[in-house]
Amino acid sequence: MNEVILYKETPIPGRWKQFWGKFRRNKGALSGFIFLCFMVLMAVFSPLIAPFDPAEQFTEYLRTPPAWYENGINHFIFGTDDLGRDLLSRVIHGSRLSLGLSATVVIIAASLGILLGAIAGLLRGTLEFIILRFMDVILAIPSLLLAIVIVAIMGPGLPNAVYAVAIVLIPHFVRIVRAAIKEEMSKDYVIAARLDGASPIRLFTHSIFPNILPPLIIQLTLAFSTALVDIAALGFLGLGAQPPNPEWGTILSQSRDFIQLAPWTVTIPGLAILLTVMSINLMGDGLRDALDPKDHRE
Amino acid sequence: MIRIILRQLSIFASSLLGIIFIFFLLTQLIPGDPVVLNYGNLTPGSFEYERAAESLGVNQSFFDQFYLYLKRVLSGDFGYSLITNRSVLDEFLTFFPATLELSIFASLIALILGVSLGVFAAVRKGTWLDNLVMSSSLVGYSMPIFWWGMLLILFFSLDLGWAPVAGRISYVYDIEPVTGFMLIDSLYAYPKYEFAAFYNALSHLVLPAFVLATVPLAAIARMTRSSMIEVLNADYILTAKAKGVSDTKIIWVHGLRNALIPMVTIIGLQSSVLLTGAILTETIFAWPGIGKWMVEAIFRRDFPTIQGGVLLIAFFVVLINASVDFLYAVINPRMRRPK
Repeated sequence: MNEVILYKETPIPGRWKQFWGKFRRNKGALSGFIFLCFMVLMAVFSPLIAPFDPAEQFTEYLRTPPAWYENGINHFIFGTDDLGRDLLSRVIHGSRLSLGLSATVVIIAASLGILLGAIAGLLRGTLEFIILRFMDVILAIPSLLLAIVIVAIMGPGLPNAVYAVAIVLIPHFVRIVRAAIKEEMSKDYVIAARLDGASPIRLFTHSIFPNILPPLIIQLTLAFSTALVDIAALGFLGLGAQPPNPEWGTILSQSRDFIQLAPWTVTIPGLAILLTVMSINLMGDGLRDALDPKDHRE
Repeated sequence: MIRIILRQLSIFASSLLGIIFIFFLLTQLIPGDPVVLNYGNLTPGSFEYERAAESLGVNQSFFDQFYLYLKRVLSGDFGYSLITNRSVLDEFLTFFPATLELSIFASLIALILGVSLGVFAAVRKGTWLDNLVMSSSLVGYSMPIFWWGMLLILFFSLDLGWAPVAGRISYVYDIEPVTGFMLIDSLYAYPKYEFAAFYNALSHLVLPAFVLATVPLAAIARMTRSSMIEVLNADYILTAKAKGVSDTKIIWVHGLRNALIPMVTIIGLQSSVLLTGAILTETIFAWPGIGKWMVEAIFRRDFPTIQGGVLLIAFFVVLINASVDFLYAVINPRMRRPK
């Protein structure tokens, strides 16, 4: 018999596989991620999932309590509000507004922030100084207050609320990108690319950017949860989405007057905000642990 | 020491100038006639209109207008409310103590509870108690406080009847605002009834202060824990243990003192979070502070009040941040380099 020699292959997992392996072991982060996926799916397919139209009124069923109450009916699982609108449908449709708007905010803030941060980090001098001072000023004004000022100037309404929250979030991106660029610039691989004659733009997009992705991803999740809460807060103050839009914060401000008559119209939309923000934060914690190269202790 | 003070002062001054400049830019962006926006409905061509236009420098160049604006702001003139006709600075000073009282009380709750919970979790790292503290801090950290406030009102005020729903004190009491702080003013107001007014004011304060404290409390607890865990692994703690120092002394003296140093700046950053939260908390609890004042000004389209009020609040935040940086430099021995 010929002896068969087996060589076992030792697989070295790739960057993504390593990251996923670490992320998956964090139960909190994984459950946050799954819940968020569920919410995103709900937002995308909300017209198909929601049993009713969010504005449809059932005038015989004003303030019907949720199904688990004694006098609740299964027709309206989360009950109805003071105008007889199905709360479940409103919350499902609201996920589209709340998540979609926060995503828009984060995309605007991140692209402007990365651009300004890259300019400040790569082209030093006066321009860097001006950008940084400007960002310091934005940071000095409490975020919601700045958003309120911007809304006050441009008038209440959804698009203005989106711009306002986006402007508030820009400085954090600028700071992170600039600090990361400063740190990477002195490293050997960047010097090598520079000696090859890479232009500042190519240097940023090809050498530096892929290496500053981890802190950026963490900042993205942080910004996402801040955006969600701030947009809901503006809606609650009556400065963001206007009724009858089923944005979660706006629903809360509408049901505030009926807190004693119909407490479920307050608890359920708020719970939706809390759970979504919590899942984003859980995911952010997991990402931080999984992406941090220094963290081998735990 | 003098160098530290001078550096902080220059940063403070340049931030103030930057804020004033950006606010000036923002006021240029407001659509409409600047004279009408600042001084109300004056008929163009009238004597008052011309005088108002002159004081704003409407017909002058951009830089002259900024110079006039700067001069007005630095001399303490933040404009006049279109609704009440009072100076914005006066109005700010009447509403500000209420917000300050709420914020100070909230930060005390957040600091004391947050630091103790953080230390507690760090010492019992990995146990179910640690997990409990960490998961509840995650909930607190993610809490939309306007909803949290409504829930607490629903439970404590409406169901249990333990706390009042809104305001700073019952209408039974007529308190003369001497210091503007209700807790202090109510102490002396009705000597005949001992502390009845004081207890009433306190019962109005507890719920909103706790709501406002929630997010900073959770943030401080999380940061104390991680900072404390790092410090407890340091060599000097091992040295202290080897010397036979008691556990309590190691945790509270050697550990916490060093763990708190990096946290001073982070606690300072919470002042901005607190003021943001104050806007929402005051709206829910009908607390007559600057947050409620600002929101009402927006709905009344009272532009001088919005402009002047936010400028004053921004000044206050910059002042707090500068003092925190200064404090950090003073208490951290590593910042004091011999030279």
